[in-house]
Amino acid sequence: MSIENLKTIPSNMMPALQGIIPTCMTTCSTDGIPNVTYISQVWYVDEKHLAISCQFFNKTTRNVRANPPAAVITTCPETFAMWRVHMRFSRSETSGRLYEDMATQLEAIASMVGMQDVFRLISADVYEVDSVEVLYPGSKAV
Amino acid sequence: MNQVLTEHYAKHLESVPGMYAGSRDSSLVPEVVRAVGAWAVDGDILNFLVSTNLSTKFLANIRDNKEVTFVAANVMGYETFQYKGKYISDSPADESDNNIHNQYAKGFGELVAQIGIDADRYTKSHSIPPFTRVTFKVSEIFDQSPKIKAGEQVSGIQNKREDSTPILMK
Repeated sequence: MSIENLKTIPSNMMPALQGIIPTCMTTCSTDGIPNVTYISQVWYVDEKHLAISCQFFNKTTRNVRANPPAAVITTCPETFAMWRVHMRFSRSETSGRLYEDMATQLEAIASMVGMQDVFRLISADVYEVDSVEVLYPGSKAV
Repeated sequence: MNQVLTEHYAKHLESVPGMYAGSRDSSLVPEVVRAVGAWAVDGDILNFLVSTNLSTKFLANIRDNKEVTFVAANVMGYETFQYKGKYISDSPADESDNNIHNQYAKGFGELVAQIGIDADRYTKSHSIPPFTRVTFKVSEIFDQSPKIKAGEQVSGIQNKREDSTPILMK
């Protein structure tokens, strides 16, 4: 079985970034311990960049600032196509259009799940995409 | 010796949570895979199943450097735990493992169907046989449920520490 490998984010991944099926992310500390966590929000920036919501100064935040590579798995809620994205932390934004747009969407997500006091955007962390593996190409409803 | 995987965590794994596992290579580049069944044994041993063909690099990493991290989250209640430890072994899933996978897939499908997701198609997307059973020894457990103190260590042999530093929300 061969896995298709892409260099950019495919357009059919967009529904997977709505947060209906949670995305999971792995990072690694400088002493070699992997960290796996669910993330609330993944945002399409352009075909080579994704942004992740930073809500806590947590292990993921610390890891990528010291060791930038990260990997996420994201799933389309319509076709159930599944991708594994390898990327690296690029920069953190705490103001501007991207930050404001992500903060607005995060407020909506928090409201839906009743976690307004927990979900609060500290920064929009932007990652540069290295590769996108197509783990499952998706299927159509019968 | 203190039991790391207490009954609470064993039952959490039995509640058919969504599950992922992470590893890293010699350059500290992380890898992530979906898990499709997990169960606790003997106080600090955790087994989980992955789709073999989607997990080539993950398996090579853990055989090489032994570092395994695993996360499980309730579909409905969001209770989430992260398990960190050392690789012991892996092997092709046998009949018993495949039965565990089938039970997990059925239970998980029933749960996601309650939130309007097409269970059959969703399960097919990540439950791709053959499967590999991974066994690792858990040394630390962190509570990753979404809340102010998310990331706090809740079980393990090391001094309790926090994997996240919460901030004032207001």
